[in-house]
Amino acid sequence: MEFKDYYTTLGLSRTATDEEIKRAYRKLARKYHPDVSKEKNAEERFKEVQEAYEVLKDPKKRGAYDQLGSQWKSGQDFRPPPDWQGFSGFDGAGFSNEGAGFGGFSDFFESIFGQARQGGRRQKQRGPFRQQGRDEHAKIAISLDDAFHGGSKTVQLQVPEIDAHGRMHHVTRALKITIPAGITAGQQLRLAKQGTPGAGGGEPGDLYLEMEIQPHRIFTLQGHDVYLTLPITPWEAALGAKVTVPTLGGPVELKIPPGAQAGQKMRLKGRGLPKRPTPGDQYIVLQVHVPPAKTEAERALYEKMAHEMPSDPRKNLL
Amino acid sequence: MAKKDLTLVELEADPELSLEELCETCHITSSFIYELIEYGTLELHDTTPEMWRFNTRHLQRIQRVLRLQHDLEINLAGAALAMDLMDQIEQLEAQVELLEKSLKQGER
Repeated sequence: MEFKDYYTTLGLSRTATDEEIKRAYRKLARKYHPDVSKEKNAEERFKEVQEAYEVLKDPKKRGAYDQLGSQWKSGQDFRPPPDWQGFSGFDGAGFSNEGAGFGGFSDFFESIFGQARQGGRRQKQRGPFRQQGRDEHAKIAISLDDAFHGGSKTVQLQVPEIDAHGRMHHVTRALKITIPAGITAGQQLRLAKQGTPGAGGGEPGDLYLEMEIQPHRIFTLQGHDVYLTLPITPWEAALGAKVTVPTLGGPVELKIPPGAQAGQKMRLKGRGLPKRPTPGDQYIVLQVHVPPAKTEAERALYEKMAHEMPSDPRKNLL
Repeated sequence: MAKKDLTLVELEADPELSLEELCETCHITSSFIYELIEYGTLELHDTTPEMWRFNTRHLQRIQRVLRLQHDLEINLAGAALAMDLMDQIEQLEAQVELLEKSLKQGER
C-alpha cells in the first residue's frame, strides 16, 4: 500500500504546532469540502485532508505516526514494520468521522490504526463489542430522461468490507438501482443496510446515493419544472400558429397566440417532472428567429413589409 | 471474503419519515430539528411535530448541516448561513444555465 505523508497533505513541516495543524486543516476543509467546493476531485482531496487531520490533531496518533520516521515519501510502497504494535490502545472514542461523513480512510490509515476505526458516535455502550456499520455516501449521475421516465442504472462503488479477521478492505460492488420516475437533482436514495457491515453482529450502515442530473441538450431543469427555448418565425409570432414542441414525455402540439413576442413565456401544465400531488410544468420561452433574405424575391418581401408596416421598436429608448 | 457482485435494489419514490424515525436515522435529537426550523434551514408545512413528514430532501439537508458543522468546525448559525448561500448559488446557477441556453439558440 502507499505511504501517506500527512504533513505534505496539509502543507506543513514535521515540526508544525497544534495551532498550525488546526489552521491548515480548517483552511483546506473549507476549500475542498464536497458540500461547498467546486474544485475538481474535491471529495478525494477532502478525504485526504480529513485523514491527515485525524492523525495529526491527536498527540497520541501523531506520535505513533512520527515513529514511522521521516524517510518515507508519499506514494512509496509501505508495509508496517514486523514488530508493529502499541497501537492497540486506540479505542473508538477518538474517531469522529461517523454518520453523515464521506466514507472511509485509506488502507494505509487502516493498517496503522487498525480496527480502532470501527468506533465512534454510534457506539454508546461499552462492554461486549457490537458495532453498527458506518453510513456510506456516493453520487450518481443520471440523464434527465431517466429522471422523467424512471429506469435502472448500474453503478460501481468502492465500499469497505470487513473480512473474517476483522480487517477492512475496499472492494468494488456493482449495484443495480431502480430510479423512481420524478427524482430531482440533489435528491437522495437511501439504501437501508447497504453501507459498511457492522462488527460483532452489529447492523450494517446505510448507503446514500445522491442524484446528479446531467445537463440536457435542449431542456433546462428548475426544480420539477422544465424549460425549453422555442425558436419561431416572425410570421408565426405575428399570426399565431400551431407548432409541435418536444417535451420529456414526447412531442405535443402548442398553440402560439397571434401577436406573440420574443421572450414570452408559455406554460405546458403538468409536462415537467412527475411529482406528487401535482407534477412540474414545462415552460416554453419564445424566441423569434428571423430568416435571412437570401433571394431577390425574399428581399422584396422584407422591403414590402418595411414599406407597408412601418414600426419603431426603439421609440421608448430615445 | 464474500464478494457481492450485483445487488438489485428497488427504491420507493420518496419515502417519508416521522420525526422519531428521522432522529433515529440521522442519530440526532428532536431539539436539533427544532433549531434547524428556527434558522429556516428546514421548512415544514404541517404545524404539529406529530404531523411532520420528512422526505429525502430534508434528510439530505440535515446531513449536510451535520457534515458542515463537524468537518468545518463551525456552529449551527454558521452552517445555516452556508446552507442559505448555497441555496442562492444553486438558484443563480440554474438561471445562468437557462440564460446561456437562450443565448446559444439566439446565435444560431
